[in-house]
Amino acid sequence: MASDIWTADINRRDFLRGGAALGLGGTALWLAACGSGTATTATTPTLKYPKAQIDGDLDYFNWAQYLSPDVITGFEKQYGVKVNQTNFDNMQSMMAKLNAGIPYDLTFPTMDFVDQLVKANALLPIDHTQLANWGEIPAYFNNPWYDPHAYYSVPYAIWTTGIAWRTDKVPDSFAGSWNDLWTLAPKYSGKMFLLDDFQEVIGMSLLRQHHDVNSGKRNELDSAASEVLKIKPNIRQFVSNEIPGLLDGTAWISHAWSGDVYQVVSQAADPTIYKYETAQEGVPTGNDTFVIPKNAKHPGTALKFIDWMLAPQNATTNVNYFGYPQVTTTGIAAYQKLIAQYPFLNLTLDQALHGLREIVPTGSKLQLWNTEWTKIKAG
Amino acid sequence: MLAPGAVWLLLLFIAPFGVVILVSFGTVDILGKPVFGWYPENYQQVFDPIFVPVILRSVAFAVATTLLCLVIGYPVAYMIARYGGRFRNLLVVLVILPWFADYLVRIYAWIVILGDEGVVNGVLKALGLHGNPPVVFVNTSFAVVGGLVYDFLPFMILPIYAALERMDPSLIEAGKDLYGTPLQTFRYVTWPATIQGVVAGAVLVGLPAVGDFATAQILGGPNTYMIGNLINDQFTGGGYWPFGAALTIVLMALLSLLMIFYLRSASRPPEAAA
Repeated sequence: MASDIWTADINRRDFLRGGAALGLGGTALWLAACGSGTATTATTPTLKYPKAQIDGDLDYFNWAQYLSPDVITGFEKQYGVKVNQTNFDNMQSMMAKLNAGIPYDLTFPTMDFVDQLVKANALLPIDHTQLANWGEIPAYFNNPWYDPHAYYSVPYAIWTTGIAWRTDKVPDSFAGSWNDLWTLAPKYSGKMFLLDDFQEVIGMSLLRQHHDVNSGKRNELDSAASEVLKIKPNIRQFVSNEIPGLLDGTAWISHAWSGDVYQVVSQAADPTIYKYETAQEGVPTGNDTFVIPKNAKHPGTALKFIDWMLAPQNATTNVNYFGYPQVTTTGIAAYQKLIAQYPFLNLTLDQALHGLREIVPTGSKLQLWNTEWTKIKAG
Repeated sequence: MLAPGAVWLLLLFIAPFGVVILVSFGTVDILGKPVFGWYPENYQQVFDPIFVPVILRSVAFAVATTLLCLVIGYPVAYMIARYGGRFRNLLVVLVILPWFADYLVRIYAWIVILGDEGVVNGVLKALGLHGNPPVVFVNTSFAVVGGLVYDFLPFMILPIYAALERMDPSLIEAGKDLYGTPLQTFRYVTWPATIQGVVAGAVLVGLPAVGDFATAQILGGPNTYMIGNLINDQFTGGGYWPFGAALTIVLMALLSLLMIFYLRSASRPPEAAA
């Protein structure tokens, strides 16, 4: 966070700060791996389906710079409406605004938050026949784990969590394991970042010990936390944004989000010095979504906007802008093209579907995770 | 006459504070939204031994900040009050001038100055110091205490300045006339006459410094986690709101005790020295 001031697009880098790197694993995998809650039961929506027709200006609520401004301008011109943009910088603050009843027409929760919002009946249902470009959406998302039958959400972007490093400073070989952070910590003491995100840090440590990334077992969590404490003296900082540190040389090795690594290589003077790996013990993977909150004043315009985003030409423009694979057939292809020279950033839909989901803990489990996180931060 | 003040106090302090108390005894729903209830165990958690280092660290940072503010602030106040002449008021304005810029901007400015690629390290490198960077300033306890001192220094300078200004300068002359050395004069005349200003400054600096979080978040590193950060993480970092509220109440209660102690000692009649 320290260096946010250096660049304008703070919030895109803070992406996921709220702790939501999840994955799109197959339902079976999800059921097997999941500690919190059970699969959402599909209840037929009771709220009214909006029609895809312009019903006013769009009140849009997203991360900053996480969607192409050209695509937004195009939408405004095409339909003669204004898009009023408001930004959040983490999932918790987004949820707090929604909970306060502020009437946003369109927002972008990560999958575990969609799961919560669906269970709380806080979203308007989406009729796929109203979306001319729904055919662009990969089949899995007709029935994703977090939103059975995709009644309420349309997928937006996918990512993984792994380790990024500078090969010019760190010539060591990496083993494709979370353990790389532990083996290299003494040698590169003071040159390592961990993400300031309790799910990512504890989850990574759990995976390293071959435990469930969403474990609710106190002994496993205790051991995960004490393992992190072992390398804490070598950690320069817990950051919600690892990009500036990787660019300016503060961090040589960093716990990192794939989309952020794309930002690094696209901004670096010499992109060839960067590398990124995911870990064999488990790759936290996630996606976020478009949803229409139930208090929306202009759900028709929101639906039109979602459809606009799914259109192949717009998805391509958008991916070239924000550097994440947008989850449409065209968006994924555009991403493959974009990162062709950085094979380590390759992320296929199949990988995403078989990654591990970190599910934001709730209730007593949240307290347990929180206590472990405090031990790490306070220790 | 009391009515308007009482209304503001009710609306802007008592009502929000009441909500914090209610949340501190509550729980959360599926969306993490606070739900009122009776869960006193939220308070039990506050006294978990794992938080002891956080509390000790916060107090240590606040004490160091207060002492440094005193050491830096007293001479500044003294110079302005005694030798400021007709520029006194201008000098006081200059002391508070940086406060017209936003707090966060001023903290971030320190990264520009002290960062690994910052101005100071640039100069050190030019002077031939090795290392990349020559000195790690940011992400350390020193950076946090330095930032806190910078944040709160005027709150120390102003009350001491006020106390010095109230003091009759002829007292210092009298001390010298009685063959007091400058040090003795300060020790037995000036210091006792301004002790109230020093205590007021210490309260104004120390109490907010204990609860500060932004400085540690921006200038700090992995070993500078303060109680303010712990509370902040409960509300914005995926934490548990009722626990954050309980922490807030306990912190406020402790600081209020200190405040009451200060107010009682301040309301005592001034001692003979003044």
